Amino acid sequence: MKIKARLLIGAGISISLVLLFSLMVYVSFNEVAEENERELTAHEIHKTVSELDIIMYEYLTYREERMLQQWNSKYDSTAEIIEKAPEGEWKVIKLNYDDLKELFSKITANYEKEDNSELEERLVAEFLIKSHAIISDSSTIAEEAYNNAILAQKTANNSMVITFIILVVALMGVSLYTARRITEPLYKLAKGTKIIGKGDLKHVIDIKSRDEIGELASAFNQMTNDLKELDILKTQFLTTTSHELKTPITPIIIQSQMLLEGSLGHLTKKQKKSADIILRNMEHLNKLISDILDISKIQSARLKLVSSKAQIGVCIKETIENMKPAANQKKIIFITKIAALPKITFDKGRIEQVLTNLINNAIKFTPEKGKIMIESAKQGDSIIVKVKDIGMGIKKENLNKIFKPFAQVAPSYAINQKGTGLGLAICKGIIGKHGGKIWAESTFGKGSTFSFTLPIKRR
Amino acid sequence: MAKKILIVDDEKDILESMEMLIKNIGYEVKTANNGKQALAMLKKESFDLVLLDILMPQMSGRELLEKIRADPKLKKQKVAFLSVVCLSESGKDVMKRLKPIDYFQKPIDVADFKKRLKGILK
Repeated sequence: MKIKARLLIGAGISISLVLLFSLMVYVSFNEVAEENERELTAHEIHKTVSELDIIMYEYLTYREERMLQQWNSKYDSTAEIIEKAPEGEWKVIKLNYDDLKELFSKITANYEKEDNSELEERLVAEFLIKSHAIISDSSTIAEEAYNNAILAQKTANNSMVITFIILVVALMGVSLYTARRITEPLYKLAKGTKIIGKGDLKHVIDIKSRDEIGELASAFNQMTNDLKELDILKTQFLTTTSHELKTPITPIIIQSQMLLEGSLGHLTKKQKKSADIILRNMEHLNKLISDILDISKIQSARLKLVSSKAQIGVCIKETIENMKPAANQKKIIFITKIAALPKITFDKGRIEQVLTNLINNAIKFTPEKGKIMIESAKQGDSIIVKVKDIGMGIKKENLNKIFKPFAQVAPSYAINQKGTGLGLAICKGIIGKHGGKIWAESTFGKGSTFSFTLPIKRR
Repeated sequence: MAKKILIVDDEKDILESMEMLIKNIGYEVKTANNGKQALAMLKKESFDLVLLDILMPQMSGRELLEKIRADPKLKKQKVAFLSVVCLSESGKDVMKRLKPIDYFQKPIDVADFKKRLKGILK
């Protein structure tokens, strides 16, 4: 079922329950108000009738006209309240109350007659019976109303508690559901996206739910698959193209090297310069093609290593030997500090490529008659190799940039030293593939140190 | 007597350049521009080394080397690959199964090539 539908159903049920119990609270409070009103009316009647009793006796004792008026006004004010009260339980009280007026009129009328005491006694007795009946009835009603009010109040309280509980449960439910069904899969999706973003197109996002997120994951996997096919095409294209490009470069390089060697006869200075330009640019073109091919392999996680167990020290010494002609041109000397190290498994050709790159950069950025230090040592579970130069150094903000493809942050004096801008990115890819790390440290103006590690035991 | 090398490549310019270069070092050189021709030549005369291109139409260098290794008279023939394809792309099995004596990547560096060639033919 869709997440939207589930959430809507959940919300619908919660809202209905909340509404139902809110309605109960409302009804109960209304009832409390009604019962309070009823109790108040009953008390009022009780009080009035008691007073009417007293005023009647006062009148009988003092026979003052003032008391008649007092009695009537008291009677009328409460008569209004009784008139407003609904029929039913108030009916008997109403009838008795009407009778009170009649009886009181008779009592006052009788007073003017002679020899009245017997009748008066009877009327007063009747009056008292009626008034006490009213008092009794109103007390009963008041008591009942009071009890009802308490009950209604309890219902209202309970309903409020239940409403609150429903709200809390609904909220918790929504939170848990969101966490389990939405947040977790989204987190998985985000993680998968990052992995795929890094170039691993074989990664499949494992979300099989039949909701929106499931659909998204499935669309994502489809897209990754399409990308994978495109990536294979791209790699095939790049591989074929670079092979095709390297084929004509091969005889050009052989011929110009033979020319420069003098194998084809003596060259004049101008001819030598011409052959040298051809050779240099061909070699640059060749390097460029190789680097583009390498970086495309690294970026599509397709770089393969041809590893064997060997001494890294031997590899470093050989590379330095190969770099000496280039260093000699700038009268740069190498200072090496290579410790006796255990044999490790690595791709000799690729590590030589990394070393050549780092040493080449060091030569590029070291002033004439400078020196380059190359060290290797054991460091924990790894072997660390450092290439230090005393060149211009790298600004702190550029230290991370330099390992990204096509990032050249060369100082102006080295700008005519052509590079492909891919060297360090390739180094990072090669070292990463070996399970090691590569980084640069530098004090701007004082030189840089490029270090990489290779694990002694490869996982 | 000078050592004799057979170069097999479908690219005429590469074939000619390699021939010039190797002759210049002082070795005797013969060339073939496809696998079939090379196989016929190998059966007729003996060579100290075969320099073999990999990407060739009809018969690839790998196929040719498999035929050489399958032939009882030729199976110990020294063969080195000379290809634009780098070693990691060719696969480890090629080195293990077909046992080429070396693997040169095109474009070669002349100085390095000379050094390694002399080592092989010592």
